[in-house]
Formats: sequence, C-alpha cells, structure tokens
Amino acid sequence: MDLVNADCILIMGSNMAENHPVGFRFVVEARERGAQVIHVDPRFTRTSASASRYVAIRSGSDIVFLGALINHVLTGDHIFRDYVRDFTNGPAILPEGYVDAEDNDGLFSGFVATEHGGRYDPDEAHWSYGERAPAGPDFGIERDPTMEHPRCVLQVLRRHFARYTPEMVERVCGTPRADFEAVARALVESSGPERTSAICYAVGWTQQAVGPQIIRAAAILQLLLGNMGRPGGGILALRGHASIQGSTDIPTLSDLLPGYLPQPLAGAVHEDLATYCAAVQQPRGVWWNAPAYITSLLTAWYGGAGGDDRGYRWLPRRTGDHTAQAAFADMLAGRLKGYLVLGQNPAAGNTNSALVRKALARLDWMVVRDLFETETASFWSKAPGADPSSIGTEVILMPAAASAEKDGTFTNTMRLLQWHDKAVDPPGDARSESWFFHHLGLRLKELYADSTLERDRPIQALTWDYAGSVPERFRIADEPDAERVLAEINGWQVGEDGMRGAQLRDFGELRDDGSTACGAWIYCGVMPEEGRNLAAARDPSGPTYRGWGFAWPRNTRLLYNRASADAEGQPWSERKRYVWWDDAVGRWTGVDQPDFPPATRPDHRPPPEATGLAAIAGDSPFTLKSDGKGWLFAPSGLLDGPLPTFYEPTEAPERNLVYAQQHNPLLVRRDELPGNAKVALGDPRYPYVLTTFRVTEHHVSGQMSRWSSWLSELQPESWLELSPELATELGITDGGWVTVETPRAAVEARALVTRRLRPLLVGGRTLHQVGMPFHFGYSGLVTGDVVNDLLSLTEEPNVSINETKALMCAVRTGRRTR
Amino acid sequence: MNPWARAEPRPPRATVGFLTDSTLCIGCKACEVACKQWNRLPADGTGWLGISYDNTGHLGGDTWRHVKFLEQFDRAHGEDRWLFVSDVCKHCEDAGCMNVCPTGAIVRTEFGTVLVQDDICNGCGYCVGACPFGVIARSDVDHGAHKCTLCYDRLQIDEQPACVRACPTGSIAFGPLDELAERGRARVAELHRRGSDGARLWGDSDRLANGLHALFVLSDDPRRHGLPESARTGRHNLLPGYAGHLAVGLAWAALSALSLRRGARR
Amino acid sequence: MTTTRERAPAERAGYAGLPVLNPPPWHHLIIWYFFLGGISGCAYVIAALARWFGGARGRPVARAGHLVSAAAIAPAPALLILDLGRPGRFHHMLRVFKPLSPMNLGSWAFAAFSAASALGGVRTLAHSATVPLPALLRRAGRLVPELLTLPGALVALFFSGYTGTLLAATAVPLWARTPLLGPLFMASSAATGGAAVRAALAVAGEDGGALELPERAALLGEVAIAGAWLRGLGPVARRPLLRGRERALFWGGYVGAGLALPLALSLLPGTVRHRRGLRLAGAAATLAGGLCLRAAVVRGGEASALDPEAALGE
Repeated sequence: MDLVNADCILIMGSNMAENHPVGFRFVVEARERGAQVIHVDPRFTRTSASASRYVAIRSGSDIVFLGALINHVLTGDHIFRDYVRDFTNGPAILPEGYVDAEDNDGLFSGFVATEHGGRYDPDEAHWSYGERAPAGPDFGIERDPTMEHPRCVLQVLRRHFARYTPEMVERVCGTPRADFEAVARALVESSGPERTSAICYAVGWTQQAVGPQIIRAAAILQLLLGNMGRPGGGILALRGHASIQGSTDIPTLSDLLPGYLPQPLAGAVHEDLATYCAAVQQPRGVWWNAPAYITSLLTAWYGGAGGDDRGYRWLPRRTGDHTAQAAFADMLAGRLKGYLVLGQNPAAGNTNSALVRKALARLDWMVVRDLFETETASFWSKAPGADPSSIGTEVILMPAAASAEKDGTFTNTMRLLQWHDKAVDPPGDARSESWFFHHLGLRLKELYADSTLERDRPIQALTWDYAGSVPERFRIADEPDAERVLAEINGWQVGEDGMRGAQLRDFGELRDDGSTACGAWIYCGVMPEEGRNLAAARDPSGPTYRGWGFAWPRNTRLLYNRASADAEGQPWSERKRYVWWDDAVGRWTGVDQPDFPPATRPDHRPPPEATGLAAIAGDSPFTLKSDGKGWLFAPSGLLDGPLPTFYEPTEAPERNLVYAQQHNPLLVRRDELPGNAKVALGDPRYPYVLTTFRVTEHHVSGQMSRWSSWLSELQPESWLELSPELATELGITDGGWVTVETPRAAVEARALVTRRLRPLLVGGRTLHQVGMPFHFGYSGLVTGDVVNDLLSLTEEPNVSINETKALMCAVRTGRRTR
Repeated sequence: MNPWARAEPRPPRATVGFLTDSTLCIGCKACEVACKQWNRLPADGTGWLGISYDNTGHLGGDTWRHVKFLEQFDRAHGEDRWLFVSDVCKHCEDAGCMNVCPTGAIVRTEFGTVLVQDDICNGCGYCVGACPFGVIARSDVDHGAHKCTLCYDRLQIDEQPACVRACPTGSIAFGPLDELAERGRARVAELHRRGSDGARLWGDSDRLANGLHALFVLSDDPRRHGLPESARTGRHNLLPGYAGHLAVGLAWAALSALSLRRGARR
Repeated sequence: MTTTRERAPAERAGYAGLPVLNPPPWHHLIIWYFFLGGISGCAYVIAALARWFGGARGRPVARAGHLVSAAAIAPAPALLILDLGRPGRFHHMLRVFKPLSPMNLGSWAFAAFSAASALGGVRTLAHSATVPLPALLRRAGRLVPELLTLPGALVALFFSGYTGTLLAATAVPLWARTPLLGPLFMASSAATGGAAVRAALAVAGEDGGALELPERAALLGEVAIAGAWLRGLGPVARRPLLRGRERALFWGGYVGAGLALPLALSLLPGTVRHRRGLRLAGAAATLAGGLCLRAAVVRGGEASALDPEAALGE
C-alpha cells in the first residue's frame, strides 16, 4: 500500500500486474499521482503495458544491470550522503586481508576449491569487520565518517562495481545503453530527501542461481539512494503465492523454527539449550532476546512438561540438507521412504519434474492433501510413461478444504496477517489443514500414550488443546478452533501453576524462564487480548491503514522506518515525513508504529556493555542487524560473497564477460542425479534462452486453476512465446505447434508469435529468448505438457532455491515425437 | 407460468451505467470471471484462440464480459503498447435487441438498463442479429438469449455489479450515467494533458444507438477495438421498408386484378 | 463463443479480424418458412382477386390459389416452432402486441393469416365435388363466411413481404444497409406465389394465362428492386453475394434461374409457352429462384454479420 507514496517504482524480476494484480492497484495509483513506473523484464508483459517505461533484459543478467545502477550512483556522486554516512556501514573499514572479486577474477578472499565447486572459509575470508568485539562506542568497528578510507565499505563498493558500466550492460544484458541510462536517471531523480523510489521484485529474481545476491544488489542500491525505511521507498518482496510469507514466518521450511529461529543442528554447535541460545543470540537489537523466544516457543509446545531445558532436547536436529530439492535426491537414493505433500505439486511444479516423479516412485508411501487429484497424486497413473505395475508407492489422497471453507489467516507480502472466516463447510470428507493436524496429533498422542520410550516423550508432552466450540450451522463438529491457535501464536502469560494467563501484547514481554508461552515471537501482538483478533480488523482509514490486519512486528507497516528521519530524529523532508522524534514527550512518533525502541533518543550512544534494545544507538535504524546499520557490505549471512557478483546462470548463452569465474562456485549442481544433465557452454544444439513464467489466469502448476472451467477457458492450452524474427527463422506459424527441447525433456505447446519478445544483441551476437508458462500438467479440465520437465534441478547455496528463469533450449516447429 | 401476467411497473431510479477506463486496465480478466461466477454462467469455450492473451474472442450468450488485447508494437508514431479493454453490453438508449424482441422479454428496467427476462424468452434469436455491437447471443446450453444484466439483482440491494467489485484497479466504474460521462470527459482531458493524444471517450454520442449506458475511455480508434464509430439500430428501416413493401404489393395486386378481369372478359 | 474460431492475423479489420456482430442463428428452417410463407400469402391474394374480378374463368384460379396457399402454409407452424430455441414457449409470441418488432407483427399476422388460409382451403375443398372430405368438415367448410376473404387478403399482403423488413430491422449489413429487402421479398413472393398457382393450374390442365402479366411485372419489379438493393449496399456489404458460397445461389439460382430464365420464357410466342411442359418449367424456375434468393440472403446474412469490415464501415 505504501507504493502510492513512491515517486518512482522499479519493477524487476517480477510481473506484478499479472501475478499480484490486487497489489498492483497501488502501482497504478502511484502512476496516476505522477510516479514513473519502470518495468525491466525479458518479456513485455501486462506489467510493462501499465508502466511508463519498459526495458528489455536478458534473463539471468540482473546483477549486471543492478550493478551498473550502483556504479552510476557511485561514480556520479548521487548517493544520499548523509543517509549513507549515518545509517549504513558505508564508513566501516574492512580488515586488511579482504580481497574483492574485482581483484580476483570474480572470487573473494577465503575461497577454497572443492570437488563440486567450492566454499568460503570464514577464517580466511576477512569479510567480517569485527562486530562482535565489545570495545569502544562502535562495537569495535573502525569507521571513517568521510568514507574516503581506501578500505572503507563505500570505497570497496566503488572498486567492486567499477566494471559494471553501461557498456557492460549493453553487452551482457542486451539492453540498449540509452534505455539503461534512462532508468538510472529516473531512479536518481526520484531519490533523496524530497523523493523516494521503490523496488518490487518477485520470483524472477529469487529463482536463480544467484537469487539472494540479486536482492542484495537491490538493497545496496536502495541504501545508497537513501530509500530504505522511507515512505514510497524500500524493497517489496512480492511473494510467490498466497500466505507463502506465512510459510516462512511459521515455517514449513526444514531449517527454521517459527520467527526465523534456526532449526537446531546436530552436533556441538546446538548441543543444548544454552549453546543454542549462545549461538543464536546477538548482543544488540532484538536478537539479544533469542533465549526468550526459543524458551517461550518450547513452553507453548510442551507447557511445563519439558523439564529443565523446557523440551529443547526433543526438537529434531538437522544432519544435512533437508530442503525440498535434497528430499528428491534422498528418495532416489532410497533414503527417504515416506512423504506428506500438502497443497504442493512437485510432480509438475518443481524443476526437473520428471526426475521428481521418478523420485516419488521410489517412496514406500505418500500422502497428498489437496483440493483435486493433482499431478503429484496421480503421478503413478496419469503421468506420461507411467507404468503403475512398476511403481510400489502407496499413494493416499486426502481431500482438503479451500480457504473459504476454513478459519485461518493469510500472511502475504508486506508481512500482513489477514484473518478469513469459514463461510461454508467443505464437501464430503474434505477437511482443513488444522483439522488434519489436530486430529493426527490426537491420534498419535493416543497411540503413544502408554509408551515408556524416551523418544515418544515429545508426543506425550505436547500441549494439544485446540478443540473449541463449532457454530451450529457447520456440519463438521470436530473442527479445531483456529483462533486458539492464533492466540497461542501470539502468546500468553503462564502462571506459577502452569495455567494460561493474559495474552501478551508485545514480544518485549517474552521471558526465558517459562513464564511466557509464544508460538512465534514476530507475531506477538496480533491478539493482544482474548477475543481481540487484530488480523481480523478491517478499518481502512488512515494513511497507512493501520486498522486493517496486523503487520508484524508490532503492526509496523514500514520496516526500519526510523530511517525516514535524520540522525537528529527530524524528517528528511516535509513531503516524506513518516516517523520522527518528539522531544516534548521523549518518544518516537509518526503515522506508523515506529520500528525502533520507543524511548531511545536520537543522540543515544550506548555504552559498550549494553545489550539488547538498549544497545541500539539512536542513529541506527536497522535494528535487526548487529551494528544497527544497513549493510552495503554483508560481513556475514551469505555464503557466496559479501557483495553481489555477476555469475552466469548454470546454462548460459555466453561466457561470463565480467569475470573469469563463469558460474556461482557454491551452486549445488546435483550432476549426480540421473536425467539432470546440463547444457554445456556453447552447445549449438540449444541456442535459445528459455524463461518460465506465470500469468494471471492460472496459478502455479495449475493444480487449482485448471480444475476451474472459468479459468481453464481463459487460457486453455500451454504456449511458447517467441519473437516474429525467431518464428520466421524456424518456420513457425502463430498458433501452430512447437516442440521445446532440453537435455532433460521435450515438451510441445502452441506458438504465440508476438513482438512482446524481441531478439537482443548479447556479446555482439543476436540472442533469442523464448518463454513458457509452467501452469500445465496432465491432470485437470485442461491439460498440457509439464514445462518443468525441461528444467534441471540445482540448489542455490544459501537458500536452496531452484533455478527457473534462465536456461538454454532448442525449439522446432511441429509436435513432440517422443 | 403465466406469460401474460404483468407486474406493477417499478418506480424509476437514477439511470446508471458503466465507465470502463481502459487506461487503468491491466488485462487481468477478473471481470470476466466475477461475472461468470455471480451469474453462474457456464464456461462456453475451451478452445485456444491465441489472439494475444484473448481466448474468449467475443461476447456471447454465456460470456458477458470480454477483455480484448491489442498488441501495438513498432508503430509509426508512439511507443510500443499493449492495450486492454473490457467489453460489455452497452445497454443502449435505442436498444436494437429490445426493439425487435417479439415476446416482450427484453425490457428497460427502472435503472435505465436493458434486461432479458429469461422466463419469457423463447429463444427466437431475433435479438442476436439486431445488436449493432454483437453483444447478445443465444446460449448453446439453455437456448435462450442472454446478456449482461448490469447485475440487476445486485442493483436491487444497492450493491455494485460484480465486475466493478472485482476489478482491482478501478478500471470499471459504476454509477449515475451523467456523472460517469463527466468523469470520462475529465479523464480524457487529463490524458491529453499528459500527452496521450489518442485518448477519447466512446459511447457518449447520439450517433451510437442514441447514446450508450456503457462508456469507454479508449487509447485508439474504436474500430481497432471492434467498436463502430456510429451505429444505428434497424428500426429506421421499418417505415420505408413497410411503405415500399406495401407499394409493391398493392401495385402487383392492382395489376393482378386488372389482368384477371381482362381474362374474365375474354 | 461456442466454437473455436480460426486464427485471424492482427492486421485484419476491426479487432484482430474477429466479427463485430453476432450472426443470427437462423438456417434452413427459416429459409423454407420465408419461401413457403411468401407463396402462401400471394396465392391467397390471387385467389381472392380471382374470385372478385376473375369471373367464371377465375374460379379455377381461385380454387388453385386457396389450395396452394393452404398447402404452403401447412408446414409453416412447425418450421417456426422448431426454429425457436425454446419451442415450448412459442405462444409467448402473442404475449404482447408490439409494432416495433416485425417478428411480433408478423406473429399476429401469421396467426390471422394462417387461420384465414386454412379456412379458405377447407372452404374450397368443401365446395368441391371431386375432392373427398369428411362430411363434418364439408359442412363446416361451407359455413366459412365469404367476408373473411378481404381482411384475409390484406393480412396476406402484409404477410407476404414482412419478412424482408424483419431482416432489415437488424444490424446485419447485408440486410439493414438499405430498407429494400421488404419490397424485394414482396415482389419475389408475388412472383413465386403466382408461379405456384400457375403450376397447379398447369397440372390440373386449367388456363393460367391471366397470371402471366402480373408475374412478369413482379419479375421485372424484382430486377429493379434487387438492382437498387445491390447498389445501395455498397461494395463491402454486398460482398457475401459476390464471393463465397452464396454467389452461386444468388447469381445462378436467383438471377439466372429465377429471373432471367422465366423472363426469357415469357418472350416466347404464346403457342410455345403455353405448352404444359414449358408452363411447368417456367414456374419451377421462378420457384427455384425464390428459394435461392431467400437462401442467399439468409446465409449471406450470416457471412455479413461475421465480416468486421462491413459492420464497422458506414
């Protein structure tokens, strides 16, 4: 919603109008108020149609583009100097051992080559600038406020991005120089004290081999321009589908506990609760209270039954890579026997989906819960080439309830929780997720009630009292009370007797002594009193709509909003006033919940021994960072480098023109998996860049949308978008059949010949890009070949995301022959 | 059911209509789907048309909102663009469908809209050819003629039409027609001010079936959107048609009479 | 849309070359109704005029006229009812009296005329010695008043040509670009009605000479009106008749067989053209032409509605 305040909006790695149409209304409103809207994308889409300017780019070359924008801002001296000096780690001086990719062919100091690529040794990397050292007012960080020191972050940035020039953009991205420079000018003109620019991105950035680094590049740009934490500024992560923000908050991810606490690792590092807390806790900022968060979580789960460590010993430990992609490798190797698939459709939705289907065939059993018989549920019978007699997997398909058929919340982009009420019962045996897990838990508890084994203690100890009264008009009488779940997520006081007390109002109330229970500290405050569900609030008044839903943390609509005021606490400008220090009452105030300790004065400089929120200096808005500054340079957190560095996608049309290092050296390639061969650089058989995308009419792999006749008739068949030039070259007619091939598979689709795709000049040669939606599969009212069969399965090193946005392919006219 | 039963005429309400501003449209087709969902219309074509992203093709008996997609690239003047326009029944002042309907199934409501009373319609199909905009058509499913009702049922409970509610960008506006016309004119003026010379308001003119209740802000010649610049219903052919027909008939009858009498006398 | 349309290049007229209008859903049932209705109406008028002005010689003409009229109208109700999307509601046509709608006026006219024509047929049969008829019907037939014939004839005159104006009251360019379809159908009904009666007379071996003049006049009238109609349509709207499948129907079937041939035959000397074979051949040609005209117009209308250029031009 804050987008309406932007003076310029850059949409990149996103097709926002098509995939976030409701949120896009705010972009349209911004445009109507005079904002420039720029869309950078390999394809001219419905977003481009609404933009003030469309800029073409080669899929997979985003870091060059963003790096060149950073370079433009640095060399033209367009940085918002005061902001950068005061609020970022631009002045921080890096240790002497640091070697930048600029000086090392695209690798940083600390690189150790391994059999499969490489890794960075933290002891040799010298990226860290000593933020844990306690001495001195700057926590041991050496700073140069003039930002001229040759080893200070700003200067390192200058050198690092020096080769990211407009010429490089033209050669690598295929973007005409004039277009690039227009974007650079627009962003610069629309940033500063009086104006702000926002960046919106989505899966176009995330699902790449360098996804997190692309986002880092945008973060650097926005910090240099002084847009973070300011109205109409910032970076909006448009999530991939409904409530996926929630599925990282209350995670369904293998490496996280609720509230971004890490899932404990096996071994010494997280051996017991004390070592875990020590490892997770940060001396400054909100992560100082990590012990309270984990203890309150365990108290919520196990009540008082956990004993001294409150049940920490019962938490499952990570022993390796348990991510979704790794799971398929485990299945193929026979290490994984059972699988629960809930509202997910990997048999069509995951990369190298043919490989996924082979993996599923190795399972002993699989439970699929979904609204319809998806490709995953029917992989054993309906998939092309499926031979049921040779597949031993027992598949149990359990019908699920749709969102109007159950109570619950969505947590979407903007960290906004919105409650939805059950309107009707689901049909027949279909049940909600809450019902399923509630009753599964009850049955497991019953099954293990008499066990004396230690490993069954966690199940016995789980507090599992979610039953509530169901309104008479509903048929399903044993539906758990979702509001009770939300109440527990919010958290409550726990009395001496272990009885539940008042709801908590703020995560600052959490304690590590078992006197508080809280299912997710970041959501604390959503239900501050029993019966008062802020996620259900629907008051649309006010400039930030604070009465609508609950945006964690603390119903803060704009994160880091203390940065909207200068070091003295005064708004950077009248036009962009948002949050400021009110000296008369000694508190921060504004149109939003200040994302800052409320009474910390702007001139507060904490003593070296200070901890937690008291250790946050009055001029440090980025409270989730240990030094409170925006990280232009990331001393920790990302495995593959402290600064975004351009590497080509795993399958690329060109050698890397920026550095000698071709690929992300830490990428997990999974070459050992069958049917996962990659296209080698320069292979003439696969000359075109393929990108996969989504459209408004369908949803992900179509497991819901292709069962609706109204949606199916809007886009009834799969298609390939290609330029008229390529169509002519290959003898393809508009509306005719084409076959797209990679080393993994061949798929057929209709040809949609359109000028929305254009040939680019990359590395001096004409390069053709083509695109396909991945919405189709073999199960539904309308069907089509599974496009994800074409893709290979790889894992980005930091978050294990797969690569869907740039690969190489062959295209020919005619239907698939194999 | 007694087709001759007559209800009390309802007291007139403010004349309402649509203003569809294609410059705000993002081509999402929520209007198409919301209309189908509210009115429980069947899907009526799962065929691939591939006209840009348009697989609907046309308004019909079971499709009452239709988004058109115009890809305009490498134009002689102006930037590349992709236009989206959501087509709908125009609820004409001089409605061809209503004029020709022989059973009186098609009526003007108290809101000034044109409505097909489905329990009267006997599916003769006359209205289908009489609409100068190709809106109304006979459904293959129930063989009656259907078109947009301007959500008559929702208007009666002071609710907006379903397509208006679903449109995420407010491209489809609804309200008193004169207010919409003024808004449309102001919008076109604003677009001109911003440099979009080709912007225009379509639907306001008497030359279009005496004035339409669905106005459109368009970025290009309406004919490129499949919309005529002017349209007359066929009623202007009635008097000259009958007159000519009568003249010919009487002349022939007279001649026949003379000839027969001559034959009688021989 | 209910069918998958063929791909159209974006460079074509209108929106992606797609039709602007919806084609009216009328096909062969309606074509036959137009054809038979026109014959029936004009046959009835001929019968009435023959009785009033034809004297003794006119009596066989009147008889033939009534029988042809009744025979021609007999299938009409089924044709109309079956053509409806919801045939069970055919009676809704008489729910209102709405002059603005030619189909409504025509429904009333059809109701009145078909009754008059049927009664005329029954009465004719009732007075005929040769034709077998159930006694009850014969008695009832004789009771049908003569007075019925005048209003019957007036309605018949309307009934014979209203279908042209019905088509012209739509938005289909081929039909509505000019108001001349009504007069054209009237003239064609006159010609076909006359031809049908003359054929019946030829079969019965009776004299149909008195009908030659009005029939020739009707044909010439058609030539004039059709010519004006084609010119008034303009090059775009008249396209369906100049290309495509309707070209053969219109120019071969209508203009050739239905106009030129009968007119040519009418130039032959009386002794020749009064031969039974030629009488029948001439009548058949005229009738075929009338059917071809209506087929070409109705089917051409569908093509016309599907042509965006025709709909968007003015």
